[in-house]
Amino acid sequence: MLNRNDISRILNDLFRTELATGQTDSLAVFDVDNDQVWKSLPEDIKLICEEKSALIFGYMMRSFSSFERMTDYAYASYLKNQQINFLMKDAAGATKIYTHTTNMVWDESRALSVLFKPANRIVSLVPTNYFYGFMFAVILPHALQIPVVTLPALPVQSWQTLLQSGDVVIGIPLFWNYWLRGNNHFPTGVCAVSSTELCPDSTVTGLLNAGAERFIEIYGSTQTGSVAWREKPNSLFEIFPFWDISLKEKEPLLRRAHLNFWQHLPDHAAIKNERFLYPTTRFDTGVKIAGITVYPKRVEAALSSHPAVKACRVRLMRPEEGNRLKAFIVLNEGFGPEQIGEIRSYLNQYLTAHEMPRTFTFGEMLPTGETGKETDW
Amino acid sequence: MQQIISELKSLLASGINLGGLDISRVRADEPLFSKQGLGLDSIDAMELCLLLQKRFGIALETIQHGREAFNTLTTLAEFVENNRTR
Repeated sequence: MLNRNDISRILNDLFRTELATGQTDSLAVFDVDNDQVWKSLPEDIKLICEEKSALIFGYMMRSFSSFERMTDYAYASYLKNQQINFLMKDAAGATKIYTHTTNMVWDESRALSVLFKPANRIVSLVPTNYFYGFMFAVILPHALQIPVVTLPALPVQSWQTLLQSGDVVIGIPLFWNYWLRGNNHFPTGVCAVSSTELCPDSTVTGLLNAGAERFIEIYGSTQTGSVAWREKPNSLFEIFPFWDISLKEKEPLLRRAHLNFWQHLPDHAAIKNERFLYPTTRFDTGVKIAGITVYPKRVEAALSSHPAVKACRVRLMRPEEGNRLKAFIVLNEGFGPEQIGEIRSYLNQYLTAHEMPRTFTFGEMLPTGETGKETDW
Repeated sequence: MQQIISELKSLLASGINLGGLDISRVRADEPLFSKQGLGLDSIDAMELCLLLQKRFGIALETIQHGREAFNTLTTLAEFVENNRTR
């Protein structure tokens, strides 16, 4: 069962996420103080937070005079509903709600806690208003009966003194990549954890070479929760015991042991020996930016609605190009590349920070190959 | 101070993809992490940490350091001046 402090942390992370995605203030990156966050919220973002809090905890939307009042209300709603909802935007920009009941998360936490025993602390670098952070930085500490420490996800800190033996450090692949670039090393006895997207084998190997005693990667999604895990680079994921698997359909189906509905895996996947899998491609057109799913088609739609834009394409950068979206734009007659500042300002109204393309290329037509088919650029 | 601000602008221009933004036109008192300023985000914060470490030998020792330092180019320059090891 969650306590009031857990609800307060989830709300605080929700506010910080909204500030960060709205690119409103560096508070979102650094600060952890409830009152400061609440007081610093611009009215439009406060409204979004109030709406999302109502969806997450399952109550009719309303305004609150203080952070404490909001926390009280959300906590009471959680106790009544015995569930928590996680929000995701789909390709069309609509909010989808995925419900995780108390029974589901405790079943899951029992399986997860087996992986991490014995542990002394959870060190969280991820927000708890997303499922991964909720499961590993809110639920897992309860299941293991150990404290949780929250740190900003910045690669250059005094990690040798911040971390200690018995820590389980919760990060995402992008952070671990930056952490390695900072030439950091783990003290002995630390377990590094990653999820939200596949961690490149080179990153896993780097973390082990940097002294991680163990590296555990979790495969799952907001929709399903944790599905499988692995401990070695370039290996299959082992499906958690609370899942039944059906291989009768073209795509494998999952069912929680005590629930009576089947659902798809988050991605297309190869299943081996019924309890092992390897995810291949996504079912939808989303890509991950810093662990968050964004949809290039949605960004193209926003870009196309600008009067200067005749046609455009948006895609994820290749690893050697960076970790953002990039855009190719064909302009309407009478407009030139000097419009870029105006186009960026326009997009700022509709896109989150992670959706915003970081490279804009202009051309007279969309890039095509010799056969006339569209090509990369 | 002005020299460090110029150096920081060069560092940002070469080390962070600013999406075509002309950093020479950014004022030193504009917020770094805001649409009204440079529009940096949490990924850029990680990149900026690495740049500061590499160029000036600086590590952020506390969250409060980051909060104060990463506000504007001016506050970042002050932080660099007071904490640089090279």
